Amino acid sequence: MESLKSIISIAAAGMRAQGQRLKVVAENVANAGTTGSTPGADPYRRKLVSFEEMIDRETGDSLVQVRDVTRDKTPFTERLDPAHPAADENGFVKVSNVNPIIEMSNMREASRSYEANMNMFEAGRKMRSQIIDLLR
Amino acid sequence: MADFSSLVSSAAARGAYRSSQELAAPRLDHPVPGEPRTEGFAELVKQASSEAMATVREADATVQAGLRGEADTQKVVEATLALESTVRTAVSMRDKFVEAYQEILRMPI
Repeated sequence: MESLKSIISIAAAGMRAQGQRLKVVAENVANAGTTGSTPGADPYRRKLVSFEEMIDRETGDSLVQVRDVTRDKTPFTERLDPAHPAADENGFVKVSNVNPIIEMSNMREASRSYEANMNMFEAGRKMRSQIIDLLR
Repeated sequence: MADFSSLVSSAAARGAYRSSQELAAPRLDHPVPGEPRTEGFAELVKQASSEAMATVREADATVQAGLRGEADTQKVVEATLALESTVRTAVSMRDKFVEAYQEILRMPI
């Protein structure tokens, strides 16, 4: 019974973590076109999520949580646009280092992982309710 | 027609009743100090029901927080599912108890 309860909380932690990851992906996609507003200013820097193991003190289960959200250090690309307020003296504007293809695959992975955790949750719940039905 | 009391003397009946009381299981309310405390069935049920009550209260608080917009949807769903399985267990247990009680009532004396 306890292990079935654990399955539910572990899967829930996984779902929460993947949800946070998807949130960061959404932030990246939304800010893909964000540039600076003063000449030579930096545009939006892509965010990265890393996960870590979290031991549940009460039960000893290995849950998952977001360790931290860091910034991607890849250099910005430049685009020639002299009319832009963020253009430097040569007319180049720094463009955010968000790559839509990477974000898209990240999004897919997060949603598939969320689904996997959801299935785990459902399996645990079903097993639990079956064992309770045995009482009837 | 023979009188019933002539078949079984009342003193013998009283004696049998007394000895049957002694046959009953020792009471668990006052455990002998020093001995490991045995967990009786009543104790087990009490513990399970208090845990169930805690789960129900927690779920209630979480759902209310969710309606106020203070808890995320996933937490509310988790709490609701925990509540569901707890209530199902409690209802099944109650059904079993009632069944056992009725079984005793139907016992031919």
